[in-house]
Amino acid sequence: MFGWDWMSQNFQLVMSGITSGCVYAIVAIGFSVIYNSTQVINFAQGEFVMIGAMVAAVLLAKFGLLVAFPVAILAGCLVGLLVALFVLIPAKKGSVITLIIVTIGASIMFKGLAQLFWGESAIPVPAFTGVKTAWGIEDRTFHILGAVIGAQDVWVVAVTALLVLGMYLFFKYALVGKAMRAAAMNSTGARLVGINVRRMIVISFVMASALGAVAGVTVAPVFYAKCNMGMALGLNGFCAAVLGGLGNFGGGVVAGILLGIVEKVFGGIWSDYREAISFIILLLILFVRPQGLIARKSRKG
Amino acid sequence: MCRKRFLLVLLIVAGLVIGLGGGMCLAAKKAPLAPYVIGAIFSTTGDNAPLGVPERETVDMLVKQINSAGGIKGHPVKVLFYDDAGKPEQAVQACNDLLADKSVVAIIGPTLTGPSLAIAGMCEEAKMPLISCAASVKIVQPVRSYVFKTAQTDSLAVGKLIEYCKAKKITTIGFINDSNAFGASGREQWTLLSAKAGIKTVALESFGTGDTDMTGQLMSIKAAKPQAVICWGTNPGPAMVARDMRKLGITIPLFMSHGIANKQFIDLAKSASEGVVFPAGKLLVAKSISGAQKKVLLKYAADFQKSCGKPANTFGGHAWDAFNLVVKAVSKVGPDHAKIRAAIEGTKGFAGISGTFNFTAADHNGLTKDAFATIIIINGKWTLAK
Amino acid sequence: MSVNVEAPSSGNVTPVARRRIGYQNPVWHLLPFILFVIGCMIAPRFADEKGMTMLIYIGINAILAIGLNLLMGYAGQISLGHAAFFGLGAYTSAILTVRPIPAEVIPGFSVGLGVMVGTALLISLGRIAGWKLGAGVVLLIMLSWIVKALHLHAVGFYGVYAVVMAVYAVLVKASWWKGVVTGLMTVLTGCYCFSSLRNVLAAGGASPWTGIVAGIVLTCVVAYLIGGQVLRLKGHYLAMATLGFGVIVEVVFRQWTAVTGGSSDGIVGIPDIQVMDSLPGFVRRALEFMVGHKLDGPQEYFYLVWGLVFVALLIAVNIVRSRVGRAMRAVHGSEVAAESLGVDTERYKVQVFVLSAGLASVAGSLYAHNAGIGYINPSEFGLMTSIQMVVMVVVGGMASVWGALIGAAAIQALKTWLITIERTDMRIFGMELKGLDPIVFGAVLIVIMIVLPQGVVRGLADLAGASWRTIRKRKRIMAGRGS
Repeated sequence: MFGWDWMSQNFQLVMSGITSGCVYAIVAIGFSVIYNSTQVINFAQGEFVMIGAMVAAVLLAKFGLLVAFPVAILAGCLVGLLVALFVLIPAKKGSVITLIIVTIGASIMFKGLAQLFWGESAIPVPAFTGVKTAWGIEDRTFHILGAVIGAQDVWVVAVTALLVLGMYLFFKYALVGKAMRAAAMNSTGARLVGINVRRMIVISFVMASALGAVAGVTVAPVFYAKCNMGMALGLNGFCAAVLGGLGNFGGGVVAGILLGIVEKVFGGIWSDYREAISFIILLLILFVRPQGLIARKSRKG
Repeated sequence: MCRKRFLLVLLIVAGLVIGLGGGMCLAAKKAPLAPYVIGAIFSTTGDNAPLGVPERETVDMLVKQINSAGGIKGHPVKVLFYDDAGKPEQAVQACNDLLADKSVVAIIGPTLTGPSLAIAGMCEEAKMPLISCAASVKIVQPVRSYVFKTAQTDSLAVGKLIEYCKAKKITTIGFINDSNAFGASGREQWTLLSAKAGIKTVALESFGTGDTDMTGQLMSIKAAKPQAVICWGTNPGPAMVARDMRKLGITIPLFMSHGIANKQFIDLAKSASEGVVFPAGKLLVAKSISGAQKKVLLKYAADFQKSCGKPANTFGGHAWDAFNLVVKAVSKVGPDHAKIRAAIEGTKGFAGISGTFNFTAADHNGLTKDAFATIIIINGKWTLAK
Repeated sequence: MSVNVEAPSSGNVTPVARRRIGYQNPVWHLLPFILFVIGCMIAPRFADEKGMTMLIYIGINAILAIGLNLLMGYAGQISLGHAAFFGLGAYTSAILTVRPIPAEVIPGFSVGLGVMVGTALLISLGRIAGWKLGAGVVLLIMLSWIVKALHLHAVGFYGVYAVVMAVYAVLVKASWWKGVVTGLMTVLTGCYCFSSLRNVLAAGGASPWTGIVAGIVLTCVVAYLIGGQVLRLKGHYLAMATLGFGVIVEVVFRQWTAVTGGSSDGIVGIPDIQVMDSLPGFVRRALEFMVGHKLDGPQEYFYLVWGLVFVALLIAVNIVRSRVGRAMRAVHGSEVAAESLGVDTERYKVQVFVLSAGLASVAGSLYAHNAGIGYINPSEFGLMTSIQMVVMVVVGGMASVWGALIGAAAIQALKTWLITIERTDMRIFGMELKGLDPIVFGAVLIVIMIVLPQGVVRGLADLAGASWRTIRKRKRIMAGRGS
């Protein structure tokens, strides 16, 4: 049973798990960015990804990557701005329950609006690079050690790595990044030092939504763009964020990729209940170790 | 600020009250004297909108055609459309609305099994003829005297596929299904019928409707080494299955269900759709068949293309059948519910889009395996499989 | 009525004492109940078939909302997975009354059921009477069933589960012999339940009342087991944990087709509850007199549902005013403070959680037996349903029992209105109006939480009170007196 077949089967699962894992990782980073500056969990994070994907779906085929990418990011930023201004800031003085409910409301509103504008069918999205066939641009595939991965999967991993690096540098060196960390740690103290906390909220939301939009554009060729793709991604991304420790970027990334792999491998074993596995893991972690699998020695931004 | 908030609240409450009152008023509309009113419940939003929207468009088109030809013996035909969003409880509310309206002669739809089963009992009790466009065999078995359906039962689709497997001497199958109602029902029927036919299912997997990649399940299927793979579901899942299979280099034949009988599958799966075999209504290969259905199919395809600007599909065809059954019955016996029911039950040899219908007291679906054609996709086009 | 612990955001300066007297006037308490009873008595006279159906749905949703309101509004614990309990009640009722479970699933299914009941029995006995006494009593009951109940298939299940339970008990109760005893007793109770359940499960056809009670028991057991762990979490973690629980249960409903029928067919043919036959003659005649004619199906059901709503309201109002209620509000205000005052927060939170789950289960059973429909499907118990329940509680008012009722009515009215709008051919900006449900619900959530976080009932009351006081203050100033 544990022969070569089993190994190659599971290696394939690991490889494809990395792709979805990277998406969860980016969503987890989005959660952490917002949590770090506002102590809020943004349930609408998955919808940011969906918006990026839908915009890309509509534009990529006709206008190509150079137009679709920036427009999708802009759309994402715009949505993040709207959420921050009209949903978060008015509700900020409410209790935890208020904040949770308000972001849930935003999330289902976006899903409904997307359905109204773009319809409910899945939209095929051409891959970034690939071979031109009679049906449009299709993904190239590579074989590595007996497993097959597509060129788009490589793009997903590459983009994830770039985003993680970008976030790390931003929060470590940029003044705005340090200001956001300060605002999260102690909002009164931050205000005293002259940091505009409201602006921090807006910036963090815009960043998180831009991140989500980038993830959406990159992953749309693999996942197809559909208006209800946000929910599953958001929930899994949240699981990854909690597993890695809320607010911990590196942890979120590692946890996201691990979660993607576990999901795929479990799907290979018992596919009927595969949708439940990430939640089962989440529940177990929350019961046993709520601060996350990866212990943080110091509070990173 | 206090005042403003109070006003806002007053407005909200007033809006709710007006809405409730207005809703009641709108719903209890005055029953017109002359037109024949047909109720229609389709899933024009939700995951299965690609099925419900063509149904609604088909009925729209047919109503216009009939009314421009003078209606049914001078009476214009009016259709009240409701959207159930694929949810049984919404279909129940829509059905309540319709049952309360005394001028409704019959109800066509819903699109999906869940809502159909939810309202079947209500329509039976209220003695309202219901002609569903949904697939499950449980809608007409056990037979309820007022409930009919025009969509082919999934057991017929499974039967047709088993026929094809036997012809190609395939004895082991890896089965993967969508976990929604359509896929789950197909799986149930497959497990029942394949055992009787002596075909062994060596792998049984499922995917969620929102799933994004099927590698895990496909690797399990590959490990079990079946001779062919059957995927039962509605888009976009099957398209992903096809694409992932080709990507993983699994070259065994891939069969699917009538859930992919629309252009969207080919658009999504692109080159992976090559060689996929599935049973579907004969609309897709109308030019290649012969018989009474051919004329009807070609006319529908042409009309639909003209009025909606896109190719017709088999789901719209179910609504075509339901609507025309009602119209035929009403033009024969008038707007009485019991007479309409009897007229539909007595319909024989009705050449519709989904097949040729022969209703009996025990069979309220009226179709056999021959309602299906086995179709193979070659170069992005549908052709009859040999 | 209860005193709102959260500072009212309308900023009124009336001392708390004055408000308390007004609210504690007995008339305020009885009046809503009297209006309620009168409304129920005359409603069937005026409502037609469609209205009856809507009122029945409002009633079912009201029971849900009342339960969830106790949890979210008073105890301050958010739950995004309550549709799971709703579904558990519905499916239990449906399965026991309709669905003969395939023979190969019965041992596992009934063992699972029995073991859960056994665990609950044991834990509750243990708490009430002490472990040793509790174990002894259970053992005595079981002795008579041991021989009859042992079944070959089941032994493997029992063994594994006994080990798991023992380990769990050890981890939680921190004592190894208690763990062993727990395991053993669970096994034996499981055997007992298995043997007594087996016939019912094989044939289906239990009475609906059994279904309702069984649903309550099962749901409360699950809620107890889950609640103990989940309620240790706070804020976002709690929300996500409950959401995850809800999703897991929904997946089970969908995928365990042998037992639940899955998403393809759901469960068909759930029988109506013969309400009239179960009531004594004079009650029947009184109801017929009130309505004016012999009651038909929906009207019978209306009285059953709203009778249960009445009971739920009684329970809720009682709890709110009792010691448990005060403890809950203390927890809501500040859990740390409550703990330091000696309130056993964990126990109260779990109690409220179990109660709200039980109410949701009753609502689920009523939903399953809904007169004339008799059909359930897993899609009705998913995340959107949980969110709808939250919307009902939020709109009605999180700290107001009657608010839950109003919230349920408002949301049902909203849904009906949306269906009516979508039925017309109106267009906005050239787009057809479809799929408005999520947009409107999302907007409602956002607007209500920003503008009226206490919900419509309390918010209106506060605003009315504040406006009234402002008017009085102005009058006084104008009359030349200081405020």
